Amino acid sequence: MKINEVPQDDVPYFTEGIKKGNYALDDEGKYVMVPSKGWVVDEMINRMAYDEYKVKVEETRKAVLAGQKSPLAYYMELRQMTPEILGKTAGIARRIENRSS
Amino acid sequence: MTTEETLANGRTYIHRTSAHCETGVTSALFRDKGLDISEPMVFGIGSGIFFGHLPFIKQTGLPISTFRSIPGLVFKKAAKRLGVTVFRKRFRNQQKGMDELRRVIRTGQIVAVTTNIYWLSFFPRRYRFNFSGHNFIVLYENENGFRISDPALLEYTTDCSTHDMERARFARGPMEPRGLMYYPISVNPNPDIRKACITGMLDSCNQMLKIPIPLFGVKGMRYVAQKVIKWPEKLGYVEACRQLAHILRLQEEMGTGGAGFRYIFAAFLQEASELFESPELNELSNEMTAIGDIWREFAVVSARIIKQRGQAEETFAKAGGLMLICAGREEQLFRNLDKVVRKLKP
Repeated sequence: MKINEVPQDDVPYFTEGIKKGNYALDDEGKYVMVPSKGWVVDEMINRMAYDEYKVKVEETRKAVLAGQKSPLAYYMELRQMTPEILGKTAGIARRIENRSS
Repeated sequence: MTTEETLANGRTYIHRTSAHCETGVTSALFRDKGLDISEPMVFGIGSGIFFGHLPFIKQTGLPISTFRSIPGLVFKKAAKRLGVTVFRKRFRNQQKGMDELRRVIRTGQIVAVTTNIYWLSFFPRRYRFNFSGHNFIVLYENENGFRISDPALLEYTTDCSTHDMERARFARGPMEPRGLMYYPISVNPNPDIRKACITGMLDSCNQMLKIPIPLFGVKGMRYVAQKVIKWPEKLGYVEACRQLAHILRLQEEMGTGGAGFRYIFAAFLQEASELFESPELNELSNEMTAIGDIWREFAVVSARIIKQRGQAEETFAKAGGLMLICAGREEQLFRNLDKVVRKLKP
């Protein structure tokens, strides 16, 4: 990848203006560190994963409001926690949380 | 928010941008002790380049393909090969872990920590997933908590609140950091850099070519490539796209970046070619750059497949085919590298 091939795409909602360092070749064929504003490929892939996460959180929120799931389930989705992670974080056994979802 | 900081004991720390967290942090830690080794050299000496498919470690329910060695190994190997003695500790007790961090930085010794990025407020919102392998450097305490240097994320230093630091260092989950902190205690004033490079390169050739399990090295690339080709038939188009997107996430974004690591290794080979005055190493550097470009093409093609959902000319066969090309060329490159390195004068 040459310096002029380092992506400088406009994806501010993704990068929040933070530039990522990449190694690329200058005119003399030497590797230098080049800041990149962002790449649409990264942004798209991340957006897919992030949207999947948001959809799951929203579906769980609706289920909680409809009385189908406990509020705990919503916070677990929000914090990306499985019953195992929640159990370890809170210092309680996994079997107890399984009853609440 | 600057690039030059004064530590607790009056010493100066210079923040430099890097492409990857573990190598950037290692380079900064060594430089702080007077051992000026670039990020690419750390990556090469520490044998960071790798490929592995790990069906047993699942993030979001999907297996992981990694384009670099196990987190922590680059630091360990680079330290060992350069004669750096290190302090490295995990903590069961969160308070003890935070107290020890504070005790050390108050002496003016900078400390690297391994963290779960979900809990770091200074990260862009969309980067914050349940991922536990992010490394950055803690410089000193201030009114906001801690002044830190995150070379892979930012071009300048920033602050991390105490609450964020505690939660990020001790978050539970897959591959939890358990408060891991590490720093060099002493460095060898005259390290044998040539020998370190040779050991690093031979180790990488071994990892890429000789591991007798079909999930690792070049064999692993072929394994995944064959899966990619069969996915639409085996899983249906939508699920196949999801799995392909997951490889891309790990490749480009989450620190296991495919093309990114290939370019870092090419930069290492370039530096090594100058160190050894070896035109062969320079040629191998050029070849690795070309291979990195193919990995990027794989990413672009895969992104088109995922976006177009069956309406593009791009096919899973083409994506898998590009991966097979990478496998073949990396196999040739590491075979050649092994031969060239064995002829180098240490």
